Amino acid sequence: MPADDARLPSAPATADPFAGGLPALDGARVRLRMPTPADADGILAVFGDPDNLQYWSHGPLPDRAAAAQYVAGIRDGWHGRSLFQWAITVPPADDLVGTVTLFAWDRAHRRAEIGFALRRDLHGQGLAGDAVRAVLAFAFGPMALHRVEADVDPDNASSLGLLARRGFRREGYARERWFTYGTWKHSVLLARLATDPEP
Amino acid sequence: MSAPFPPGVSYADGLPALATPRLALRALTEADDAAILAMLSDPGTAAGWGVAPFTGLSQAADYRRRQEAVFDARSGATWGAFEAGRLVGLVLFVRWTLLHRRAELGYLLAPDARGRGLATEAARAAVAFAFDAMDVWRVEAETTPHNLASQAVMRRLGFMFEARLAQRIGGIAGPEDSMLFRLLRPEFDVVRVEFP
Repeated sequence: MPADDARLPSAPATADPFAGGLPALDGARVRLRMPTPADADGILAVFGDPDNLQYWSHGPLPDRAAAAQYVAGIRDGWHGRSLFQWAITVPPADDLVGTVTLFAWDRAHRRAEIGFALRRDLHGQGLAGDAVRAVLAFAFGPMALHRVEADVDPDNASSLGLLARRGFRREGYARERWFTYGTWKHSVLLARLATDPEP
Repeated sequence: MSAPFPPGVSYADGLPALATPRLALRALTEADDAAILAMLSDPGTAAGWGVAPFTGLSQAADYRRRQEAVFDARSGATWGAFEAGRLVGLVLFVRWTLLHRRAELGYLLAPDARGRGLATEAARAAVAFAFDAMDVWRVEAETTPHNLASQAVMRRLGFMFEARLAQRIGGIAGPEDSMLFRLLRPEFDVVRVEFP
């Protein structure tokens, strides 16, 4: 149950393990870092592209102002420790070409949900999978999670394939869980546990 | 549909009271803190709720204030369930999203109030309210595999089992699986018509 879960009493005050900021993470080819206001154009290229958002939980961002607001939301979410959303970059370049996210962090139950999005012209090269691998190492390492979950549109074959390659198991099918683009979308529910073998 | 609760209206003023044949459901107030403590200081009850037993009135007050905050953020709604004026349980929604018209149901009964169908009664009223007045389309509920009483409540209301989620609940005795159930509004409408 997330920190906002009304059933749980207030979590005991514990030291913030991430007081030093969102740690930068290195994959084989990608580098993940904290998004900055300068990433608004990169965000717009990823999240303003209608063809890239068909499986996302909301519609495309309309303009650069919305993208700037989105970046501000990422930073606010980080300050509240409710959102870990890294910019995906491909060194030596430092521009944002996608994001990978841990959210719904539940410290009591040691779980969080993962999400990822990559600019459409970079799909099919394994960059998102590389980013997910790096984030899972962080999730099961410094963040000490026991379970990472994902909720994927059943038609989103590439994301389902990526997660299967990263060791996620399908656990169920949830009907009419998201209302997007004026219609109900079902979900495939997946998870990987800390104790699962590295694929 | 307009906002289910007017903006700015507080938990105490904004959460409608609901009546069932045997229960009155209403917002918790400071006067209920002692009864909340009594209910959640019971180890078994607390364990079923996924919390350590409450040991002091301040924990109950803190809990009640959090229900106020959740309602103020319009991310949930919590009713105390009263039988003949005595607090015997809680029924609530958390993770309520207007955008996706979804909320998660939870319920709790004091030990001496169990076995008489009160949880079903309270949950049924709350679910009907969510579909009728909160614009909810999908209600979700989770429990552990061994909590057959809770699963029976869900099945009576027409919930469908969707998934067994591995080691999702960090129980006091170690990780436990979560049984995920769902109820869509049209599914509940069938139950309402067939079993009014």
